[in-house]
Amino acid sequence: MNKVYIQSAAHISAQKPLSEEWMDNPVVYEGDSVKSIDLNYKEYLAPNVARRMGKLLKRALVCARMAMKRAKVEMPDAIITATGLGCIENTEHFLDAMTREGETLLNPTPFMQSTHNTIGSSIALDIKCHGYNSHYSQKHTSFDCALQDAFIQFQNGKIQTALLNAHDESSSVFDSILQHIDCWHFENGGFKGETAISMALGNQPTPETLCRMEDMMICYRPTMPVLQKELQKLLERNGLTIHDLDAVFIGVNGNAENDNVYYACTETLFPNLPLARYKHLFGEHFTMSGIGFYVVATCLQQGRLPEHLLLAKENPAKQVKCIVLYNHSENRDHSMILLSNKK
Amino acid sequence: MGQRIVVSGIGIVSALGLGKESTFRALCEGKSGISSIQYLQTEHAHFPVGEVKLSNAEMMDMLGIKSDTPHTRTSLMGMIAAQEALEDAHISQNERIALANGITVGGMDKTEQYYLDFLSNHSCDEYIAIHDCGACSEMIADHFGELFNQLQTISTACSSAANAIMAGAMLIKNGRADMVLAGGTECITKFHLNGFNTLMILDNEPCKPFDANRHGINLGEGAAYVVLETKEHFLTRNAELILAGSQQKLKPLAVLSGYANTCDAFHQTASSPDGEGAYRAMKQALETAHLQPSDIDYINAHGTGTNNNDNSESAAISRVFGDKIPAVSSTKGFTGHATSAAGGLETVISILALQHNFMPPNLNFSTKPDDLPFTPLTAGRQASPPLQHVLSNSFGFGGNNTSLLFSKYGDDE
Amino acid sequence: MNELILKLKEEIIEVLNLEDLTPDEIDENAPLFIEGLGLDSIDALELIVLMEKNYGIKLTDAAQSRDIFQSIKVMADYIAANRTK
Repeated sequence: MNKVYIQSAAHISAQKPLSEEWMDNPVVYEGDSVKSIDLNYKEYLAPNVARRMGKLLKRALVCARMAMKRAKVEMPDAIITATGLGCIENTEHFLDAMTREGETLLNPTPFMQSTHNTIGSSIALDIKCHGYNSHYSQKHTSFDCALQDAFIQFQNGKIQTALLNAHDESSSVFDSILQHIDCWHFENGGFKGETAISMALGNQPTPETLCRMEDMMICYRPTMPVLQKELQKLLERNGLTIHDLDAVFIGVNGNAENDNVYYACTETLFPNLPLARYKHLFGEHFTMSGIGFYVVATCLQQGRLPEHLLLAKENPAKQVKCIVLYNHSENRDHSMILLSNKK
Repeated sequence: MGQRIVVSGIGIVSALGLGKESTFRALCEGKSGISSIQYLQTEHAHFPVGEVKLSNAEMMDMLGIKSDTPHTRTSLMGMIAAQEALEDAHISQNERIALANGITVGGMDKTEQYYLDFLSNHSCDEYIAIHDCGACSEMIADHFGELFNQLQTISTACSSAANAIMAGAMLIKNGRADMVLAGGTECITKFHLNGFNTLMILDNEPCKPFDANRHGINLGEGAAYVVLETKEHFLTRNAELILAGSQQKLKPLAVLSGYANTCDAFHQTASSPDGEGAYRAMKQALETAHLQPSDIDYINAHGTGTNNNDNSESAAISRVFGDKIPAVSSTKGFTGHATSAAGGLETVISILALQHNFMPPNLNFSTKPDDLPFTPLTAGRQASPPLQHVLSNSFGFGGNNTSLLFSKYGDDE
Repeated sequence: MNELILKLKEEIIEVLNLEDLTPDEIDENAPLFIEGLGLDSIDALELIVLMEKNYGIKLTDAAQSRDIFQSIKVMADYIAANRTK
C-alpha cells in the first residue's frame, strides 16, 4: 500500500502565523475565546481576488498558497477541505438580515460565500485546479474524515499529491449562541479558537517532508472493547505494537466532559504512554484536530516533544519516532491517526 | 478492475411521495410533485416548490419519535429514506454499516425559526447543537440504534449526495466499510429560498430544464439513499439469509460502475461556457467504469433550468458524446431542485430506470433552443434495447461536479 | 447630475468592496463589466439590490439590467429618470 507523506503545512491561528515558533516560544492566552493572529492579507492577495472574501476565505487562500509553495507543488491532484461551520460570518450576515429586515433586498454575496464548499472551490479557482474537490463537515471529526478521504485515494493510487485544508472561524453572533451550550465552555486555560491550516500531502518523501502518515481509523459510538479491537487492528496492519508508540496526542481543551473521555479512554488504551496536548495553544473548534495533525507532524520532523506540550512533567523527553493522534467528537466519533518519522 | 460495488437497496422521499413505488408511479404518469408552497413560512409564497407533502409532526409520528424531541426536517426526511433503503437491502439490526451523508445547510430550518430566541433567551437551546451538518447525520444514525459504526457528512452544495455515494464506494473499496448507506438529505429553508432568490435564478413558474424559455429553478427537498456493498459481500449475505430460511435468492438492484469528482474552477456560482468541469466528470466516470460514451443509454442530467447550468451541461454532453448523444432528461421538473439531496434522488431515479427499463421525461420542455445539441425526452419511454448503463450528473456551486454511472447487474453474474 | 454620479461612485465602492479605489479613479463613461472595473455577474446582482434599496428602482431581469449598468453615467441617467426615492 502507498504511504502518505506530509510535505508542508501553513497555519493562521492563535499562534504566530505561518511559523513554528510555538514549539519553543508559544503565545499564552487568558480568557475563553481567542481570535487568530491575522496577516495583512493585502500583502498576499490582489484586491480583485480578495474583495468579496471574508476572513476565513482570505486565510484559506493564503494558507493554501503557502503550503503549496513550501512543498513545491503547483497543482495538487485533489483539494480536500474540512469545516464544521463553513463561512459562518457570511451565514450569520445573511440570516440576520433575513430575520430582522425581512425577505427582500438581501445581498447575494453573503449567501454565495456561505456554503461550506466555497472554501475548497475558491482555492481551486485561485489555482485553476480541475482535480478532485470535496468537503467534509462532521463536527469534531470533520478533519479526520477529510484526511481519510485523501489517505484512501493515496492508497488506491488515485492521487500523487493532495492539498488538505481545515477551516473554522469565529463570528460575533454564532459565538454568543454557542455559549448557550455546555461543550463550548472551557476552564483551566482552555479557549475557543479558530482554525486555518493547509497541508500538502504526497506519496513520495522529499527533502521538505515533515513526517509520514502510516494509517488511521474512525469509528462511531464504539464501546471500549470495540475501540480496543480497532486500535489493535490499526497497529497490527502496520506491523506495530503499542510499545512502538512514543506518545499519544489528545484533544483536551479545558472542558471537563470532553477531557474526561480522553483520560478514561487513554488509561485503558494506552497505559504508561506519555500524553501530550495542543489545544491549550490553539484553542478548540470543530476542525482543530487538523492543527493537532500538524503539531504531531512538526514534533516528528524535529524529533522532539517540547515540555509544554506534555501533560505530566515527569514524562521522559526522548526522541520521538511514532505518535498517535487520538481525537473524539463529543464521545461519539473516535479517530486515531498514526504518524511516524519513517521516510 | 477491482471489486464491483453493487446497490442492494434504495430509499427515497421527495415531492413525488414516499418510497420507490410512488416515485416510480409518478415518473411513469408524468405527474410532477411541484406545487405552491404549503409548509415553508415565507414572504415569497408565489414560488412553486417541490415540498415533501408531510408536516414534521406527521413524519415524527411515522417514525415513532416523540413530538417534543429536538429534530430538523432534514434529519426526519433522512430517517424515512434511510429506513426504506435499509429494509430494501435486508440489513438486520446486528449488522454494522457506515453512513456517508450529503448535507449543506443542515439544521437551518430550525436555526432560522429560533434565531431571535437563541439571541435573547434559553427556550430553544436544544436546537443549537443540532444546527450543523454533522449533527443531522448523527440524528439519522442514532435513530437506528447501534447500526451505524462510521459517519461522514459531505458538503459540496448541490453535488453533496453524489459525492457521498462516491465516498461510500471508496470506503468499501479500501476495506474500511463492508456496507455503506450513502446519499443525501435537505429540506427547503427560507435561507435557501432567499439565497437563490438573490441570485435571481428562481422560476416563478414550473421549471423548464433545457427549454429555450427557461427562467431558473424550483427549489425542492427530500432525501434518498442507496445501500452499497461489494458483489461478494452481497452474495454472501444473501446466501446466509437463504440458509436461515428468511429469504430467496436475490439480485443486486444495480452496479455502481463508475464515478468521478472534478472541479470546474471557473467562477464561484457560474458554470463555464464550455462545461469543462462537467466534461471531465462524465469523461472520468466513463474511464473508471471502462466504458465508452457509446455504451451510455440514458443520461439523467443535472438540468436545473437555469440558463447557465443547462448551457454549460449541454456543451459538456456534446463534448463527451459528439453527435451520438444518448437519451437525456432532467427530472428536476418532477422533484424540484433538492440541492444536497438532488444527487441521491436522481441516483434512485436512475436505478429505477435501469430496473424498469423506463426513461422518465423532461417535464415542461416545449421549445428547443437553437444551440441545444439534443432534444430531451419529452415523454417517458420504455427503452429498447434494454437500458444497460445510465449516467447521473450532479453539479454544485463552486464547480463541484460529480458524475455517477450505474449499470444493470447481469443475469449471468 | 455630477452630484448623483459622485454619490453613485461612492455607493458602488462600498457595496462592491472596491476599497482600493477612490471616486476620482473611476471613469463614469468606462464600461463597468469585463473591461473597465472588471465586474461580474454577482456584482450585477449587487447593483440590482442597490438600485432598489437606494433609489426605489426594481429591476426584475438580470440580463436586461446589464444595459443599464453599461457605465456609471448610463446608470445615473437611468436613476435620474426613474427614481422613486
